[in-house]
Amino acid sequence: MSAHSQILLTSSEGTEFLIDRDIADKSMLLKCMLEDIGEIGQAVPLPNVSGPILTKVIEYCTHHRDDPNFLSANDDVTADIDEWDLEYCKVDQGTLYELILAANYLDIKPLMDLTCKTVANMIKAKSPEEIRKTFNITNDFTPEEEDQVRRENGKDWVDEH
Amino acid sequence: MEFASLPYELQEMIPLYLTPHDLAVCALVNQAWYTLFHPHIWRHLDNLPRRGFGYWKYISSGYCGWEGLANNAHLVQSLTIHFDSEDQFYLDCNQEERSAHGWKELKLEMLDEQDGEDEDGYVRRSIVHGEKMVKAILAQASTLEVLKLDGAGYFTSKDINHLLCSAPNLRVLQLLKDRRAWAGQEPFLDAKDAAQSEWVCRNLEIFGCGIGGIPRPDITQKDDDEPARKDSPLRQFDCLAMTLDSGLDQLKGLRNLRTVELKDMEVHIGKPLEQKWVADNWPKVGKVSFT
Repeated sequence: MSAHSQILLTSSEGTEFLIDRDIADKSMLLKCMLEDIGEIGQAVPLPNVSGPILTKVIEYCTHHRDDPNFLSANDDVTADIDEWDLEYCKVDQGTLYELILAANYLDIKPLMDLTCKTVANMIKAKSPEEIRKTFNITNDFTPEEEDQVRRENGKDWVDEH
Repeated sequence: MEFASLPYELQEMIPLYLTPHDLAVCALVNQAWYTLFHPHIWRHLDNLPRRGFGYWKYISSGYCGWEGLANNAHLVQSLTIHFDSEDQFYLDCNQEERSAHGWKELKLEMLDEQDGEDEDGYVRRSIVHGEKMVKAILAQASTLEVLKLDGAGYFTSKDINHLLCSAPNLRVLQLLKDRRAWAGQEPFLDAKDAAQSEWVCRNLEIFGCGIGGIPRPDITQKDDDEPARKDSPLRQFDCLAMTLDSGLDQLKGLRNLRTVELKDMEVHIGKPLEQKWVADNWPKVGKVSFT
């Protein structure tokens, strides 16, 4: 296999994407598949990933193509997200969730970590009401139930903000 | 696409990135979020910031029955708390039934560096694990892997032995004496409790706890010069021996023991028979050290 070999991917709409093998290898799903069956010269269909999302995923893998710490980069759940990744995740919520789905399906752990961490950052240091607003959620607790949850976890927990 | 339409197993990734404090806020958002986030609040309580957020404030608010933990003990899998306040803590836990997941790691430790003394010269920091806490810990024996407690005064020899007989996964057991001697006695295992028992903890790597009452057939007189009666083996607490005559063989099940540090020993392991015994039965122990 030459270092410059390329792989053809097809998104759910049938759009074709030609990418370098080392980019494809960032996805454990594609890496294992290519190792198992070899490069068959045909397009690999990805019926679960749309074109725009696949474009986004390829952008991520391309930016990190020479990153030596790719697989361990986001292991520390408390570490800050670097500037490029932060900018990369400035997308609407729908796209963010689609990216989580794609990262999970294609088995790209660093992208999974990044996108989940981004969701977590949308939650951090907010009040329950602010979270409801951010995620467009209706409060279906009765006041008694809400009180019960507060008591259950210890009353001083959530009064800081 | 909305958060709620993600598959549940992917939604479950999010709690892993949040602190207990944020998780507690999430549990108040709505019913679905309660189901998703609430169990995680209590699952892994490790490396908690010592100060500065509500949870810690609650724990350190004094003499506490520890309401939150008591209500949610069935969700806890691991817990590490470093105490550095001058308050006295009395930890009790209303857990009567075995938890769904089982406790795996429980570490309640005191920090050394900030010892303070009050005007009477007593170190005021102290943890006392109440009898309910001991009972709750024993109820979790089947899943327990690591148990490190400072101030383990309420653990009796029988409790410790019970744990060793019912905790097959136990790797680390460290029970340290309460800093204030009068607040709790030193936890130790009486050899006569262990002698008749079948220990199940084959993977025990660290056994940090006193052992007392090892029979000393080589001593024929007690401290007060009374001759020992032939029919009752002498039991002395601060004069221990680690010899085959004294029942060293009872510890041969601990094949994974890695470190042996002995203190206050009257007779050290040093005889060829005991050295061979250690090499045969404790293959992972490098060198036996004495302090």
